[in-house]
Amino acid sequence: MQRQYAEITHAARLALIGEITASVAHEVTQPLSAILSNVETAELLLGQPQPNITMVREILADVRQDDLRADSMVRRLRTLLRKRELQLEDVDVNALASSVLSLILPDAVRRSIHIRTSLDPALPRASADPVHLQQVLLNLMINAMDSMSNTPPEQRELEVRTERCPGSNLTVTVLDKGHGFEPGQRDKLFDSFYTTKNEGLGLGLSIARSIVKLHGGAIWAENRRGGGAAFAFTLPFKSL
Amino acid sequence: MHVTTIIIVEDDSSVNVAVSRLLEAAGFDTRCFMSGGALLEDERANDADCLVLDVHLPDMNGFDLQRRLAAKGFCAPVVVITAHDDAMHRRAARDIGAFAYLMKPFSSLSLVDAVSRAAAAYR
Repeated sequence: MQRQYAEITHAARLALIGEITASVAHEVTQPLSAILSNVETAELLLGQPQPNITMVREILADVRQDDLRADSMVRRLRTLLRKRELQLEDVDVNALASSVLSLILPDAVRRSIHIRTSLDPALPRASADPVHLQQVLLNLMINAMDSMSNTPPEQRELEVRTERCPGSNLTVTVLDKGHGFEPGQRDKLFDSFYTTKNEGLGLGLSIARSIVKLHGGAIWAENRRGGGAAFAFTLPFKSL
Repeated sequence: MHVTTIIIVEDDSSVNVAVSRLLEAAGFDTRCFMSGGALLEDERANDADCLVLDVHLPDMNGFDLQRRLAAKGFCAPVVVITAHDDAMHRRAARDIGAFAYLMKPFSSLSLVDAVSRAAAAYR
């Protein structure tokens, strides 16, 4: 059962990653481009009769930083690519949400989607599998972006909220200003092979639900009053 | 002596700094902006000899920026730089009459060459 779960979630992650590859490639290309310009500028400077060594030092510091930036992007991707069974760790959900946002950011910019966050600074840590949790977040964020393709660009907004809720749970909510869903669809959204997209297997949300359930949480969807949808899930705090 | 001034609009701060350093080392003056809006508000936008525009800017794309500048009567040649190459961008670059279209990461030589030729043709 655990093994089968690992296989299915892994396959779904690969599909998700396929959707954000262009975005990640873009994010890796930026530091690579800065590195190339910087290195060639340093060569130019060092070829001068009285090279500006201070500038060359600044360049080297920037090259190092851009190298690490490209590496952190590749690392994030590599973590998502690993096949693994559920392993619970002590997770900072805010940091995890920010990390997933940075993966989709270039894609959001390309689609003219404004990103807003409202992350509770006092959020307790959760007991969760960070890789599987990222998968849920990635899935909800990609769905949110997809839902806004017919929203006028100036209204497109993806919001991520985290908050502590009564009891021993925290809630993560992903909100969009997209087409929302028909009232009758609400119960079917999380079913396997149910999809409202033209291209899509209809597995993302059903896998998201199994992941959240395995963590001891719940997931649900609501239409927003001003238009758009909100997808939320709970996670139990790390047991003390 | 006229010093050739290049305006750079690029929202990735590392790329922005690196491109500016390169062009300065190659003998140009540079002015850097992080968004299209910031350039549109700048009074001195008009005295540039060439613009280096990134395609994906936070507030508008580089092509729209060029159109808005042109509407203000400002028509210095444009060198487009992008990390996301596709047919649509190439077409848009052609439509705005861009002098060159460079894919990141580009060689310093190609940028310096494009900028020098664009600025020389404009003057």
